[in-house]
Amino acid sequence: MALLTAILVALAAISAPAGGEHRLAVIVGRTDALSDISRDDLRLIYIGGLTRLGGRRISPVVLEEKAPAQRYFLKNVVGMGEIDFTQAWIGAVFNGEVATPPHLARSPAEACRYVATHRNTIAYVDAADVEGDVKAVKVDGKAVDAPDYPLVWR
Amino acid sequence: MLTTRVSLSLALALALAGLLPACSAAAQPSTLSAATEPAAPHPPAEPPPYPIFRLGGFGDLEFHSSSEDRPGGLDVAEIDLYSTAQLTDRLSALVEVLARRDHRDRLVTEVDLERLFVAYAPSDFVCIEAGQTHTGIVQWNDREHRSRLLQTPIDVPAIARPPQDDGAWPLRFVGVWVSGRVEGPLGLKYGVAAGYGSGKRRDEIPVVSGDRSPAGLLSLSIAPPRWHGLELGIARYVQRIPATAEPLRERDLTLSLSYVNRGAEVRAEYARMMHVGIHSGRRFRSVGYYVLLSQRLNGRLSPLRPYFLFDRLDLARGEEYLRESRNEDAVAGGMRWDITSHFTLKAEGRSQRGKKRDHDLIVGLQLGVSF
Repeated sequence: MALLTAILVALAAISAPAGGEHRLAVIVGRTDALSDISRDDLRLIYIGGLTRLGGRRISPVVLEEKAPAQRYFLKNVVGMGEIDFTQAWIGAVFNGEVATPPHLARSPAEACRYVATHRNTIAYVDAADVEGDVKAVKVDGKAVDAPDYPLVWR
Repeated sequence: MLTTRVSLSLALALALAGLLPACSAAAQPSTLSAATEPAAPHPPAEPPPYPIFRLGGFGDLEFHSSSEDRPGGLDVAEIDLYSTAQLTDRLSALVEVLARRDHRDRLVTEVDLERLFVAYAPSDFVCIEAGQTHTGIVQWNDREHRSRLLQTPIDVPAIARPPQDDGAWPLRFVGVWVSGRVEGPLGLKYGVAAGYGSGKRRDEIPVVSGDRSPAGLLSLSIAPPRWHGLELGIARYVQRIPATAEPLRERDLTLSLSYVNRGAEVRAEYARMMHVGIHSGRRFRSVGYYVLLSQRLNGRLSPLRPYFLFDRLDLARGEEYLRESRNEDAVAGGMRWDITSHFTLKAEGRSQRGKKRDHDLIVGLQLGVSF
C-alpha cells in the first residue's frame, strides 16, 4: 500500500504543472462575442496596428511595468521592452493612428474589473488572477488550460 | 541674419486647436492612461465616451561642437505641439504646430503648421484623411514627423529633412489621403493620395493661387505577421512644379526596409528624385539613402541604445530648384539614453561633408522630452 501511494504521489508530481508555471490569459468581457484570437492579431492590437475586431473598435489594457505578466507579454508577444513599447504608443497617438494609448491597470484585479465594465476592451493577466465578469479567450485556437497553450512562462 | 517666419495657415491651425478643448483628459502625464473610474461590482458596460481630446507635445534642445570654425553651443531648440480629437468612433482630427529656433548656419525663428487634417476611418482597411499632412514619400518622415524623441539618432537623414531645413524631398502636401491595412499573411498596407505639393518655394504649398502644384502618391508595404517587426515598402510620388526657371515634372521613387523587434532596430531607405524640365527636357536626378543600425541593451542597461547612422545624399548638379539644399555624406555613431520613456538624452559623434573641409567632425548632445 505504501509503495502504491508512493507511485501515485510520484505520478502526480510528474503530471501536475511544474512548479512556478504561469499561463497568460487573454480576457474580454463575459458577454463579448470574441472567443478566439491569434497571437498575430493580439500583437497588432498592442502596437496600434489593429483597432477593430469584427467591425468593432477594440481598446487594449496593459498592466504595470513591474507585473510579471506585463514583462512576459511585451517580450514574447509584442517583441518590445517597456520603453520602446511606450514610445511606440506615443508615436501612434502623435501620428493620429489611434485616439488614446492603452488603458493602464494598476493590478490584475483592476484589469479584470475594467474589461468587465467596458465594452470592446481586451487585457491579459496571469490565469490565476482571472476574476469577475470576464472570460479567457482562446489564443491560436488553444484554450488557456490546454497543454499546448502558447502563452506559458515559468 | 535673423529670419522670422510665421505661416499664414497657422492662424487656421490655432483656431482649430482652440476648438479642441484642453480638458482634463487631454493632459498626458503618462503614455498609458491610468484608471480613473471607481470600481463597481456589476455596473452596466458603457460605450466609449466620445469625443476624446488629447493635447501633447515634444520639446528638444541640441548642442553641437564642430571642427569647422563656426560657433558651438545651443544650435536648435524646438517645441512641437499637437492636439487630437476622436470625435466619433470613425471621425477624428489632428493639428500639429512646430516652433523652432535654429542657430546652425544663420539664426532662424519660425512657427509653422505641420499637419492639419480630418480623418474618417470606418475600418482598418480604409482611412480617409483630408487636409495638410505628409506625403509619405519618405518613410522616416512619415513615421517620425518632427519629433526627435521618437527617432533614435540626433539628426534626421538628409532625404527626410523638411524643406525649411534645406531638405530636398517634398514631405508635405495638402489634399486627400486614403490608406489602410489589408488582412492576410502579407500584412499589406497601402496609401493613395492626391492634392497639391510644394510650389515655387519649396517650403510653401499654394492651394488657391495659380502656383498650385498638383501631386499624387501611391505607396505599398508589407509587414508579414510571421516575421515580427519586418516591413518592406515602396512609394511613388509625382508632381508638377511651377518652378521659376521653368515648370518641372517630378517623379520620385522610394524603397524602404525596417526591422524592429526585441530591441533591434534596422532602418534603411533609398530615394530617387527625378526632375524634368517640361519645356527644355533637362533632367535632374538626385539620389539619397541612409542605413540606421541600433540595438537596445539588455537588463539594467536597457535604457541605453547604441546606434550607427550612414547618411548620403547626392543632389543633381546645377538644379536651380534645389539650390538651397545640400549634399550629405555622413557617418554618425552615438548612444541614446532613455532616462524615462518620456525623457531622452543622446550623445553623438558625426563625421560629415563640411562646407570648408572634406569632413567636419561634430560632437552633439540632444535632450528630448514628450509631454
